[in-house]
Amino acid sequence: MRVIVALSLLFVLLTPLAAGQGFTVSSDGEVAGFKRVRVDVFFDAPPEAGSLQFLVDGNAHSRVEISADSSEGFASPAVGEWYDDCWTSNDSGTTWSPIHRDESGIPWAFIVAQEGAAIRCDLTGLPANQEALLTISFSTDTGVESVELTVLASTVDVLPPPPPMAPILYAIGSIVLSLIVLFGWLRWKDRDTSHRHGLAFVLPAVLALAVLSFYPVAYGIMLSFTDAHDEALGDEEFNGIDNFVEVFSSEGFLRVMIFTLVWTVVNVLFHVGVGGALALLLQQKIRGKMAYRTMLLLPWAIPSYISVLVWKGMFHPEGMINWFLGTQSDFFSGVTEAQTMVILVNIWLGVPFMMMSISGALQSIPEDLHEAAKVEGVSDWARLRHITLPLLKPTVMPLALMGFIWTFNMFNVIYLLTSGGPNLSTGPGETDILITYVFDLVYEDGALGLAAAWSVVIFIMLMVFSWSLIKGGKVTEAAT
Amino acid sequence: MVKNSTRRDEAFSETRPNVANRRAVSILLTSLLLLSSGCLGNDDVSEETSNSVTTAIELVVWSTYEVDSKEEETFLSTVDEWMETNPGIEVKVEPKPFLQAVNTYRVAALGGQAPDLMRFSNDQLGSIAPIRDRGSPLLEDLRPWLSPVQREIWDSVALQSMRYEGDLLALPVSQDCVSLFYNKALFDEEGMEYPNDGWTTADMLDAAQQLTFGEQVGISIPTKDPYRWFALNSGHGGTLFTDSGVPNLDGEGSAQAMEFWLSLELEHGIVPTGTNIETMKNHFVEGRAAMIIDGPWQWPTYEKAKIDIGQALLPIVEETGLRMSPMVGFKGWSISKQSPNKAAAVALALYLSSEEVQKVAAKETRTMPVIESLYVDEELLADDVLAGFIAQAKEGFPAPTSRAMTKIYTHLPTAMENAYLGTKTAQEALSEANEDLIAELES
Repeated sequence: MRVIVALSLLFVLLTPLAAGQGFTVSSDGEVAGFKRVRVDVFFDAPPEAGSLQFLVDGNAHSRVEISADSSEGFASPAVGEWYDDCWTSNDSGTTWSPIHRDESGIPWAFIVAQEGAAIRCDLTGLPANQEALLTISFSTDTGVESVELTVLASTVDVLPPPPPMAPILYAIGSIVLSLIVLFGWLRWKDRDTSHRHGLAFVLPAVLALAVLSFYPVAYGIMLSFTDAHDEALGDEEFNGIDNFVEVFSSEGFLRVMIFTLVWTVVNVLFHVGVGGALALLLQQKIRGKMAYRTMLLLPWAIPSYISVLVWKGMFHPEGMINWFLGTQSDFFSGVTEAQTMVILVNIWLGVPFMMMSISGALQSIPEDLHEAAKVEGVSDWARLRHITLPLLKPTVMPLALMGFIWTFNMFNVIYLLTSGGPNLSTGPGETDILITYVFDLVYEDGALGLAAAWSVVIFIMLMVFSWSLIKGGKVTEAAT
Repeated sequence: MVKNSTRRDEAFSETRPNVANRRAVSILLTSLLLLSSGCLGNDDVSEETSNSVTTAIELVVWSTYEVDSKEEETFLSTVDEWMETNPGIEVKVEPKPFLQAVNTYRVAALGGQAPDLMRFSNDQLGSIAPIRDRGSPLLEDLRPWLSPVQREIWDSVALQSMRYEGDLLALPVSQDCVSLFYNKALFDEEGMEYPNDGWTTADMLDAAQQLTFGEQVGISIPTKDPYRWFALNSGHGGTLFTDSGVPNLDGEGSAQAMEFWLSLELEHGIVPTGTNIETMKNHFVEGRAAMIIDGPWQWPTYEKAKIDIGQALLPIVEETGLRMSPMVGFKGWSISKQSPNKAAAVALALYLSSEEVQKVAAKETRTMPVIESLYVDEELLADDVLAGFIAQAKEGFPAPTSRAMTKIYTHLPTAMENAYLGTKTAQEALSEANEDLIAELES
């Protein structure tokens, strides 16, 4: 860099001026900027009307029309509006005024017939750090005068800095080191016990969790207390709880929260209820059980985005469902219709998993119990209530908890089916759930800090729900 | 059994694994420190871009042409030709979905993985331009790279549409706007005259009503699509922004434009319920729709479907006497700010947006050029369809390249949805959308 600056300085000193028959030219390759040079043309006498042409390495570059007429009807854009700015001077360069331009952007210098006329132009498109031959020709009715000089645009390009890895590695490193210390301490604490080596087996998994889960969560929480926005990434500042205030005071908060809960609860209830009922049915001795089982597994076997797009077509006003109902309803426009539609599709998608899981659990219930109950004359209903359901509980409760978390954060169905619409007001759409709304905040609004705050709210809600369920003993008790 | 197990555990604990464990931990810690120190270099690295286009380099280009389309085929052959004349440069073309272009590019660029070149529309530029990563924009300002003479070849409106707050973010390569397409066979069957340039909205409505029966659709338009509605809005005297750039969604004529637009489905029943862009295309491809409002990019699809298509200027609005004026969007080639091979990338972008390449694209794919000299090129004007689209574009208004324009696509659909459902009148819905838009821009 220093060498380039020194060279260019030397260059400017060596070739400051080039004189033509009626004008003198000087150039400066440093002040104008990347791939630009500044050229000053000083006229020895008031110039005639004509055209001042610039050629770089023999190729036409630009021109300035010179006129003594009135500038009326010509615009005089502010400096900076055009990158190749030009100025005129009537006092040998003591003061400079932005040049006028015609409708095509061609610069026009309206020079009063007096001594000291000059034109200054910042020429663009020059090769960076390479000498170029600049030819300046002044054509008038009486002839052409030319001057040549070598110019050098010495300003270098500056690439954006690479993504900063150091803070990320520091953060991950700190988490990993803390875990190593924690595990070391636990191992020391358990030094006299027989299971201390177990910690070593767990460590790799915990380290992976630290990098893949703990760090993103910690970073998300940190981001939620900043004004991070994609218009100023890397310049975010701590803004306290402003994002959370905005979340809770936003017009759509209650609406999106209520629909998220309705969506989750209805889906999980139907997944478990319908999945369980189907599993019980398939447990019976019926003909073609395998065929039914295969059919019921289809929604699970097909990639969800394909299923959802097929459903989207079927719910269209000209789709199969309207054809079947003999209507032309637009399920995507009505609020209730759209909400019902997304819930129905997700129920359809989620039932097979529950059915298979419950089916497996049903097969693990010892047949002896049912046989003994039958011998005792217990009715089918009583066997279901007192044998099947209690023994299913250890499987169903963790499944329901998992289903709750999955459904709460289910993105695909809503995004592909309605994109959160219909949108009847600003903020979340009528079928948006928290997770789809967060997506919009990031990718449409670029509001990263605010989106992080919404994500923290989701995280806390799920934590509280899971914790209370575990603490209440319903899941752990069931699982043991 | 239990006893044995306990004894085994005890025996295991007596094997003194402390030395081995300590060694493992120290290796882990050392590796971690080495890893950290290796990555803690100076982030403020300023690199000088190589200006040489002759060294062996690879340029990554993300094209947003439809995969396997005629446009993509033409584009790829153009790139091959350029590579032949620039043997030191390998161009790797990767297709990306046009509608996801902004997000795809943003994610890649923020991760330092942006392609060297990507094709964007000017409204997409309005979304990307404001993004700053540690103070640096994601796209290169191309003004320093071009001389005024180089810039002069492009239509000044197209060139201006590639600018955002002064920066020139792309080199214009094409323009497009919607126009009226019609199925000649359906008009012939009813013995009706084809739409012509003197048509009014009343003529269009009348024809559509006559052509709507059974499964046949008189006119198919996506009623909740703001982009197509813009044309009717300007025909009613509405504008998206005032002269000073303030949003003006509820200006004079806009409510009437929206009422007429929605009435085609809700009142007159000539547009099928819930028609969106995909169903509109299907209606036309299946030969069911007599008229649609669509752009030249779909022309090859309809030709492939063996539809005998005609194209006419959008009609004149009966009430105002103004012609429906579509929004003209421009596309151009942008260079990544982080490209290590900018000189080569600019050279390629200049070639891809050159007169020669635009003429080939216009001839092969009917892509509308943005070069002044091609507007009057006899060879191109001999193609009625292309000439028709160029004439339509001349009736249009340029799409603003601004953040506000991208936000219109968020707020206007809400207004359209409300007016469609009748939860608000068109005027109320537009006023609310305008207020929300202004509030968002101010915040």
